[in-house]
Amino acid sequence: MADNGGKKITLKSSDGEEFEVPEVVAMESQTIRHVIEDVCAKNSIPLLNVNSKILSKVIEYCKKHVAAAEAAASKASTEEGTAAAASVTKPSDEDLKTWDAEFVKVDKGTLFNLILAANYLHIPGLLDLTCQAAADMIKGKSAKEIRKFFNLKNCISPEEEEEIRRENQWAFEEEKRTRAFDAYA
Amino acid sequence: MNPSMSDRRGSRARRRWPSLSGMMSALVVEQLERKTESEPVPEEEQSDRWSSLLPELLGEIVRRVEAGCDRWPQRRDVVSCAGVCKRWRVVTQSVVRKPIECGKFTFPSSLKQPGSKETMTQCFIKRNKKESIYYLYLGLTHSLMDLGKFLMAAKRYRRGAHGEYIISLDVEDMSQGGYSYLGKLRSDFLGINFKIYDSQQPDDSFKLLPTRSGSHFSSKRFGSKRVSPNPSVGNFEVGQISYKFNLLKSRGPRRIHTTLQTSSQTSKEEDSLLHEYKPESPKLKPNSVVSPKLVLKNKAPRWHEHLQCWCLNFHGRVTVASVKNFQLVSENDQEETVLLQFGKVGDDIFTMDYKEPLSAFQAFAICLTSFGTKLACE
Repeated sequence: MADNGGKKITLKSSDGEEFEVPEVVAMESQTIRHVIEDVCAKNSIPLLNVNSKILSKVIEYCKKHVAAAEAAASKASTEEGTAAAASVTKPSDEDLKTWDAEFVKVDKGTLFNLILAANYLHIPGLLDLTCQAAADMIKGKSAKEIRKFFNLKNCISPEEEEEIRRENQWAFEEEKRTRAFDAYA
Repeated sequence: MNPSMSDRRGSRARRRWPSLSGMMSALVVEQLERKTESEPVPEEEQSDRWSSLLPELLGEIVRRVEAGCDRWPQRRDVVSCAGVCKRWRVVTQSVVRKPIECGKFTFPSSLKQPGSKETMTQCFIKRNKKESIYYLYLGLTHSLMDLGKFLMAAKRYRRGAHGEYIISLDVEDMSQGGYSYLGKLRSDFLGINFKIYDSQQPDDSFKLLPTRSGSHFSSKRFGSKRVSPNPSVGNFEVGQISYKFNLLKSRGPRRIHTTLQTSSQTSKEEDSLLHEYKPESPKLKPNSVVSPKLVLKNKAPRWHEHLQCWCLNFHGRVTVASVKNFQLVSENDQEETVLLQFGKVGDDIFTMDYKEPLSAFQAFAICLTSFGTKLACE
């Protein structure tokens, strides 16, 4: 990323650590962007809801995405003709996707905090990425397994439990039915 | 990106503050410093925090789960989400759309909701002649060799002078008081007049299946041998089907006349096809709701001189000639749009295609009437 000596801003995590980042990176967060735009220049923005570990991950994400956008923009402007530009930007899209996939390979505690941070700081791309990662963790799991995985309490009423049992039996029916059909056929 | 989320966040941040720089800085800093519900927690407690996730954020996650499983069997992930805990259940139910909008089955309640308006929902029925059991599946691919998603099953019983098909979510539980009971189809002795009964009031079918109140637990819980239907699960008449006498007295096509009670929640365009439905069953209370009715008749096949048979265009979905095959259209529809189509494709396998305003349950019940001999009719 071109470090052209642009304006820098300091972000301070809840546990007191300070991160100096280019303003353009910090502005990936719409929350921070509005602080910068609406308020006179502040040297340091405290973020009491994000600890240093998570903030450093968030900054890493923002840096990468700003860099990728800048690279794509500069390549598009230097290439002659849109066809050439299109073929050049595609590989970098793939690279970014790969990078994103690696980025969210974290434990679920960290993922949880990343979701909250993405929401709090209003970073749409990061929110999408982290929520999708959580959704991918859910795939293929039964209700019981999901509950165990996320350490959730089962507060279902007996009536609802009956309904849920019926739904699950119907949804997961094919294992039973396959056996029944084997017997019949 | 979810627009409602960004609007909520964006509007709060975009508020224009008065240009008193000192006060402004303080106010904005206060906004950032204001503790939200997600306070920083030590690492070891983080795994417990998922239970505190904002409903909107949980919705973002569940929405992505739902979007990622269009088809069965993967779609059971959505059902899993709905069974995790109360909060997840509420969120999942709000994320899932009805079959009429998305053309997909998600919960058993989908079975009693109208199908897609645009396309025919393609299903198939497998018959076990020996046991008199009929299994309805949603077709998952165009090949009938694939298993499909099981929807419901019906078993035929003799009840004195009548025949009855009990329709249930679970083949192993065909009792009327059972947890999985959906409804039944009752025929007269001749097998030409039928009535469809729904276990729930028709407009309740948009809720999930009925549950028992504390005082009406079934025999399973108390271990008694009660056989009578559970009082909180009823039998509401929702349709009548008649096969008309065939005046030619040969193996000509049957004439089928069907009257169905439909939900008042089907699309407005269908209103012109609907009149008031007045069920004949005396079991209904006097002040029960009278819902719009749909009258269907079968599309008349044409005699094909060359092939020497009666023909209907089933668009490849029916491949074996049979007197059971039919297409139903609305009595009032000049264009004769096929709303239900049923026909044989193999010894014990039949296709069933239907669309809005019919539901899978109604379509299946109507198709069941086609089985069995019809005395005095052919």
